[in-house]
Amino acid sequence: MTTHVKTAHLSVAVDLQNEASSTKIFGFWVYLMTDLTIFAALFACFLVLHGNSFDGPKLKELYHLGPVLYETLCLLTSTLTCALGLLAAYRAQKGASILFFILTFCLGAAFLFLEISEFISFIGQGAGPERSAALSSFFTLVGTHGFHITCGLIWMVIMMFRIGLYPLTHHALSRIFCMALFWHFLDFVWIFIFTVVYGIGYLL
Amino acid sequence: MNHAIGSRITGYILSLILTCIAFFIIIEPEFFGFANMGAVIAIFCLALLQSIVQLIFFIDVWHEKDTFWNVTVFASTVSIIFVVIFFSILIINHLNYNMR
Repeated sequence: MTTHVKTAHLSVAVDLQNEASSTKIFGFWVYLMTDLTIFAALFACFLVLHGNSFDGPKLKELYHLGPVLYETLCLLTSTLTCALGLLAAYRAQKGASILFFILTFCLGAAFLFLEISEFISFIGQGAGPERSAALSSFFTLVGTHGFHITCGLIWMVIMMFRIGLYPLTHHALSRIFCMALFWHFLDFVWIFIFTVVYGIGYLL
Repeated sequence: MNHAIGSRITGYILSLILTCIAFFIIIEPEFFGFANMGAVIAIFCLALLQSIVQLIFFIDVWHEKDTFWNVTVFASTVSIIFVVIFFSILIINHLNYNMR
């Protein structure tokens, strides 16, 4: 088994040996896809409503794109460290794996901090979610993503303890794989938030 | 395994480059010679490219033995997303146009 892990070309190859893990990952994949459908509905909502500022502050005037770039870079880098943490777990290098997940956690927390300070600055300028339809859709879409990030961070802490305390069996590895998949999925959604919410909101 | 790490780092560098290009198009569309609508189309294309990079280099559910169902679920979700977003915009713009 260990030699197979070492020679495995890609991480998922490990899970091929175990039918149950494979089914679990498929189930999680289906969950992620339904989650993507929720995000699609929120994106449609934002695209329809982003111009309706109800004589309040326009989204374009509220945006500060500098912090948004930092948020994006945080999330992109955290995706890389998360993937490296997973690969380290597959090689049974517990220390390296936990180190990479701690890095991922810090970058995710930095992302969340920037996002919450953006929300607070919006509300401070009298542009809370109740001000206009555009702001409601903005806060719902970006807030839903932030909520997912929060859940991902909690999950990551639990996984770090698991890696530290228990042996890395098939089941443990497939759970870590699902967590990493969730994190990559959040980065995937953020690409479109960056483009649609900030890009289109700023340009149109 | 080194190959796997290399592919992750390649994906990371590609996505950094794509993000920076998209960011500069957003803040300086005139520099690239885009009108606002052209810039929107450009950044949307970049986002599609970047999502493909993410799908290939990070989200690796495509290497499993029976990858058929993963791909099927993904394809059906993409079609649902297309229907929801495209037709929402179409219908609301049409209503807006007719009720003016």
